[in-house]
Amino acid sequence: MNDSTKVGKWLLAEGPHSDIVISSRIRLARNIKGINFLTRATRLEQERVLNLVREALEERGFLKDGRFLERQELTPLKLEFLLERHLISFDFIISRLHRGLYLNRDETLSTLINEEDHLRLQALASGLNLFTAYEQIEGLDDALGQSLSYAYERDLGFLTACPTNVGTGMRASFFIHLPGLVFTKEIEKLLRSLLEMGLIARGIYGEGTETKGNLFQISNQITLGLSETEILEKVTKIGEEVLSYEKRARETLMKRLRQTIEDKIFRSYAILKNARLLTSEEAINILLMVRLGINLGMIKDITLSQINTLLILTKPANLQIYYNQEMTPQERDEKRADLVRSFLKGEAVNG
Amino acid sequence: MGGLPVKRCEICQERPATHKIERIDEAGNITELAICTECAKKKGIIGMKELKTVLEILKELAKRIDEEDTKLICPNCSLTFANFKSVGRLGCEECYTAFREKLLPILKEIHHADRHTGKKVLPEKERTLKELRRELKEAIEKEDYERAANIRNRMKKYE
Repeated sequence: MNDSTKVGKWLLAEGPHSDIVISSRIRLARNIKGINFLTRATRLEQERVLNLVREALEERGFLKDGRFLERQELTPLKLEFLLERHLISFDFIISRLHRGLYLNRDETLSTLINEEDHLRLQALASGLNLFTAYEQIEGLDDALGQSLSYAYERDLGFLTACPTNVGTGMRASFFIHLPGLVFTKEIEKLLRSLLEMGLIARGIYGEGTETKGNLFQISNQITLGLSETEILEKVTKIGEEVLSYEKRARETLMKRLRQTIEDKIFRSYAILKNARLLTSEEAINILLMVRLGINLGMIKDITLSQINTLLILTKPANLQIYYNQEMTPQERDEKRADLVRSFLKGEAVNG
Repeated sequence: MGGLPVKRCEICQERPATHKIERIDEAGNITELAICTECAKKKGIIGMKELKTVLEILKELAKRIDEEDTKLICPNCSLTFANFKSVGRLGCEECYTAFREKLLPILKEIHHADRHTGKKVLPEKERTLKELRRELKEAIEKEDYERAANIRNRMKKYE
């Protein structure tokens, strides 16, 4: 497994607008010609897909800097760990299909085998950086496309199990932190207008707008009739717009409710630095509140990269793998608080 | 000369206006603007409005299964169109051919388009040739001339 004390390169807060946009993600859906989609694929066909993809990755040199794992090799805890790192889907965990996973070393590039489609390629980048993520995924897609024959036709493009992905098979999305728009209650309006523009927005932790920590994922809905570049441009442009709304909302908040906001941020800061017990939910909320404090220039001794890293490491499975022991929820709350305190003192290994 | 005078779109000044929109300026004044469908779409005012979430579209599909759908079967994987409607997933690439006529309107509803304009995949022959050219270059760089000769022979079959 990848180093559990480090997090993916895409969390290092290095890309453009990484103060507000945490990361960008591209996902491509592909199927292999002549093999039934997963809804109809036999066990044998599933194995064939796994083997073909593994061979193609090997042949193209992708296993030199990454690894191929079969789902059976992974314990439930490891699966949870990968889910928390956005490297596999929930569906990947629960289904009984014969599945596999490719992962490069810095966790920026991955491929799920036999999820909803034969292949689900994924690239992650820090900040609002869809073009960088696309460049990386295109390299893998071209290479695999040379070795495997993709199910493709001129009129409909890449053929996918669900017609919502047909065409480019591409979803471009970004994870964005929108506390300003949530506090000023403008978020509903924004989410509705995004839908009207053909984009889907959803809260990352929890359903709809009832989100913990005000973190959202925004992605394109349309995959057919637009080129990859058009989709990337559109999503990036909308990302920049949402970003400017968020900045304006933060300015408004600071004008009207400065003291309240400062109080909330510094209380979170105090908890983060001093708590002896921290639940997973509380950790998300205070980490993101402190993140806002860093953005607003109130907190100077914690970096965005530290916050991004802690957002992952404090999750239940990541925490247990970090300490290399299974824990009860009560034990986790204690260790979580320990990890945060020592990490911020620079004692724990930084990613 | 019959009918009403056609008002032109106030944005492009060309096409006939088909929509009236209300605009609120920064001072809070409401003004009315008559525009054409094309410009409304460009401005993102309409066109996407009826765009439903994927889940909604798929849910609606499942509600409208008729007898004809159960008789429409993919010859390759034997999935029926009714089956597709209830689960929202196709069984194989051939389903796209077998169900084409019924799928196209659904694709239009989801994507507002029914033709791919993105990345192209070369036909088998061209791809194999491209691949062989790459291997040839590699063999020559490594001065493996025996392999290079073999590759050249293989290429001849395609040319």
